[in-house]
Parts: sequence; structure tokens; C-alpha cells
Amino acid sequence: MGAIKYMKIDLRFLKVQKVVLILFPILAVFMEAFGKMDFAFVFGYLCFGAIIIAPTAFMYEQKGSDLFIAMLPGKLKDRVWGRFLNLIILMLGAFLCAMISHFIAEGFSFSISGMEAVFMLAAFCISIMIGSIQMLVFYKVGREKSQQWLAMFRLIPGFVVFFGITYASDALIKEPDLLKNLVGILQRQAVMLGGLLVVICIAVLLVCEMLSVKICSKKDGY
Amino acid sequence: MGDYALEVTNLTKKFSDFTLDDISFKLPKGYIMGFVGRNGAGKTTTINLITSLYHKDAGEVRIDGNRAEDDKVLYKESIGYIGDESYFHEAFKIKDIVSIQKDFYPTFREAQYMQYIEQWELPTDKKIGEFSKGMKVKLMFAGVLARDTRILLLDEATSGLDPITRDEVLVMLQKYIEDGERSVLFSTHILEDLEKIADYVFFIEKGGEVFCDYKDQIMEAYRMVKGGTDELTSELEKEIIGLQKSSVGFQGIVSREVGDTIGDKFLVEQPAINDIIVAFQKNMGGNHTWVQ
Amino acid sequence: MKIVISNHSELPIYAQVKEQIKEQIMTGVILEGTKLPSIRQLAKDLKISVITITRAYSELESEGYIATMQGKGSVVLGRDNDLLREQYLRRIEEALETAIETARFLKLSNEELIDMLGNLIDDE
Repeated sequence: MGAIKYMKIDLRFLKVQKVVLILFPILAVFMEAFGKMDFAFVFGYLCFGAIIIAPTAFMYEQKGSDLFIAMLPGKLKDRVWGRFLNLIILMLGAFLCAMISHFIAEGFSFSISGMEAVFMLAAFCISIMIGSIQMLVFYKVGREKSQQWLAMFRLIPGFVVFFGITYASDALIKEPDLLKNLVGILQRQAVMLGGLLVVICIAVLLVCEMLSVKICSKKDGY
Repeated sequence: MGDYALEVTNLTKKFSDFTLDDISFKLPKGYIMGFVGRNGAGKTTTINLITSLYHKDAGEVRIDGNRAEDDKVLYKESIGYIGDESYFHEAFKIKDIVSIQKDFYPTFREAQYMQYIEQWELPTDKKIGEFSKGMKVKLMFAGVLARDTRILLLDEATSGLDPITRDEVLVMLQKYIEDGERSVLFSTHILEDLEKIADYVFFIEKGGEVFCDYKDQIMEAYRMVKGGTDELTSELEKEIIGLQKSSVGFQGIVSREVGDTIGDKFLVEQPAINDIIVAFQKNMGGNHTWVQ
Repeated sequence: MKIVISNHSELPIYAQVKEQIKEQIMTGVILEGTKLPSIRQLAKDLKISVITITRAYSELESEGYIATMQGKGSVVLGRDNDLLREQYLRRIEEALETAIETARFLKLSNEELIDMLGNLIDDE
């Protein structure tokens, strides 16, 4: 499929960040297994990593040396989808790493509470939504802003995700009543809420993608 | 199908500070067209519009009769573009390029590509960012020649090359058109290259066409005249394009008719295409228009 | 076949190619029936444009030196074809006219000139 071909190209750029790509998960495992950081922190940290790495491809476009890519015989739609798929793959990668580190931390056993599962799903979906919006912003202004601006800007969603996840987790722990209420609601409406969240997430993703395609089709250079 | 590799009709693009205005020309199959003009005259814009990288405000472009709007993928496949600078990401290596080309170009021939790599001694273990300029240009050529295209678009592709490599490029271009089915549009500052192998020349200035004709006709329509400074009459001066005066004489370009009549009084000889183009550029805004 | 192009000649390139091929045909260096290289092949070898060679070949054809068949290339025609014969006849005329002019310049009489011609023919 066309989009996958483009996704492969964007993933190639991550080769340059090989070091980061390997360090992040290893640190995650260490933090949870040996640093005794809680799971939420680690998951948040990994999502942060995924969100920050996702727009790497945009950084290369800045230099204008993406002409080869722009000239490839493929549809613009596929090209944009490829980049969004890139984001999804990275998020799945973060998820996988979190699972592995949790697995190791829990003494090579797999135990995850219902709360943790729901929490993770929520964090995952919200990260994807923020990542998608980040993509949209990059498509809109990516080429006009300087490298420095982009480098700084991409940190914002990452930190939002990270602090969001850890804060939410802390808040829930600190407020047992809130937690109890939340658990109550969740247990009653778990499937529906979960489903709703996933639907919203997918909707945001699709909208961002469509808007990105629209933006690119108006601009020169794509 | 048709007989034209490239047909550009009323191509127009407006920027805030520059307009490419109503450019039209046709390049038949099997020929080379040189595309000349100053920096900023509109060469790169025209080429970017032909590749469909830029969106046009008006006009139409057909390659082998096909428009980008009809089938963008096929259209892009039929173009081999080579630019002034490397368009590959600096962090890529040759194997990355091979992989991407295999994915996207159905006619890509890996064996032929690697043959070029070997022939030109391009390093397979280094990142493209570490290649020399000549190597980068050859890499672009390898990618383009190892697959099927209908037209080559070169945007100042030879500007940074040493003379030997440039010569190799000219040989490659003539080989490319040898079957009479494919054509080359070749934008360049190095007019000696055009002088030799171009069949047509399109001269652009300030976004508009100055002339477009057979290179041979252009060469034959003009003569270079040289003489002493005090021998220059005001009637002759009116006929001269791109007049240059110095303490020891003058020179300029005149039409062939004028040149033939003054051959006994002045030195009149065949100008190089460079002389003609430069003379016209000097004359912009003057009272001479292209002689048919 | 040998073709050497001068960049500094007053003769346009197509004319240089044409004249050199013509000369070699006329002097027999290129024999009748020889197949000339294709236009594109020659353009590539000489590193000049296709249209320039095309023009040289067209003029050679219209002057009767070669015949081009679609898809088969160009062949040198026999020396006894009509067009070529005309070319040769014209050459003879031109040479004779030069002789006559020079004779006039020297104030040679017509008889003296015809005598000279006779002697030269006898010497052959």
C-alpha cells in the first residue's frame, strides 16, 4: 500500500536517532524495574519519547533536501498517511516497551490491574490525539519556521503528554474518593467509555490527516 | 502519444515578487533543449512547475501527451529530474536509495544502478552527506538512468562539476536521446555545453520568453562585429545589441543582414551562443527584439 | 569516414560536416553503397546536436550524394546518378570559368587557352 511505502521512508530517518531509540526503552526498563518508578511515569515517559520522535521527518524537510521524496511517484494522501502511520507505529512501540518493562519490573510476570489497563488506554488515545494535532501544526507551519523553533515546539506536546499522564496518575492516587468514584463509573461504563475514547481518538486522527492533506495540496513543494 | 516529449502552454505562476508569465514551448521527442537565463529569470520555477512540484496558476503541461492532473503517479514516473544540489537526505546511504527506488519505481533496475555506482566509484558505505559534489550529481544520474523515463529535466545540474565530469554528462545526455523517443530539457549557465549539443534554445528573462528557436538558426541569425572605437558610427550603434566599448575598440552583436554589409569595414565573425545571449541580456529593455 | 569540426571556422557546423562528407564521396574515400552512420550516432560521436547533423544529411540528399530510407539509414549513391552528375558538371564549369577569368586577366587569347586545355588532356 502506498502509505506504507512512505511510512518506511519516515522510519528511515529514525535511524539517525538510533541512539535515542535504544536508550529510551532501556531507561524505561531501568526506571521501572530498578528505579522503582511507577508504571504511569514510565508509560508517560515512553509516550513522551514517541511524540517527540514522531516529527523527525519534518526536521529534514526543513533543509529542502526532501526533493527526492517529493518527486516520488506516489499520492499526496499516501504521503501524509505514511507520516501519521509513523506516529501510530511509534506509539505502539512505546506501548510495547512499557509492557515489556512492566513485565520485567513485575518479576517477569504479567500482572496489570483493570485500572492500569484503562489508564493506559486513555493515555494512549490522548497521546495519539495530541500527536495528530502536533502533525497538523507541523504541516501547517513546518516549512516556514526555523529549525530552532521546530526543535523547541516539538517538546511541548511531549511534555504535555508526559506531565499529563504522571499528574493524572498522581491525582488519582492522592484522591482516593475521586479514584473510588472514577472506578465506580468506569466499571459501570467501562466498555462504552473506552469505546467512546477510541472513537474520538480515531476521529481526531482522521480529521488531522484530512486537514493536513488539504494544507499540503495547496502549498508548493509537496 | 504524439510527437512531443514536452508541451508547455500558457504556463503562469504568480509570486509576491515575481511572475512567470504565459510561457509556452514544445520539445519534440528525441531532442535537447537548452534553457537559459539569468538567476531569478524563471528557469527553476518553470522546471518546478513542469515536475508539478509547484502548483500553476494557469496553463497546461503535457509529457508525452499526459498531464499531471490525469495520472499524477504515471506523470511523475516519466520524469527524471536532476538538480543543482543533491536532493537526497544527507543521512541516507546508497542502500537506502536503492530500497526507496525499488518501492516506488516499477521500472527500477537495481543491477544497472549498482553498475553505475561501481563505474563511478561512488562509496556504498558512506552517508550521502559525505559525498563530494560531483559524486552527488552522479548519484542523481544513476537513480534516473536506471529506470525508464520519458524526459530528463536538468536544473543547473552541471554547474558545480569539473570539466571532465561535465563532459561525461553531455555524453550521457546524447546517449539518452539516441533512440529518438526521449528528450532533455537542460537549464544551464554553461553555454558552451549548449553550443555543442542543444537542438533548441529557450531564453527566459524576468519570467517571460525572450526567444525560443533552433540553436542553429540562432547562431546563424547573428554576427559579432568588432572594430576601432572611432570607427563606430551612430547608425551602426543603433544596430548593435550588447555593445561593449573599451579604450581600444568596440564589439557587439548585429543581425546577419547588417553583418554582411559591413564585412569589409569591420571584423565580422560567428559569435558563440554565449555572446548572443549575453548581448541580449545587456539589451533588456532596449529596442531590439528577436529576429526571426 | 573522417570528420573534423573546427569551432573557429566561419563555416557553420552543418556545412563543415556536409562538405567533408561530400569531399570524401567525390574523391572516392567513401565508396558508393557505403552506409553512413545514423544521424544520432554521428551526432553522439561528434558531440554536436542532432538537428545540425540532420541538416547536413538532408542537404547531401537533396544534392544527390546520398539517399535516406526510413528506418534503414543513409546510403552513398553511385557516381553516375543524375543529381550527382549535375554537381560534378557544375564543378567542371566552375573550374573552367576560373580558368577563363584568369586567362582574361593575363590577356591570353581564346586559342591559346584552348591549346592549353588540349595539351593538358593529351598529357593525361
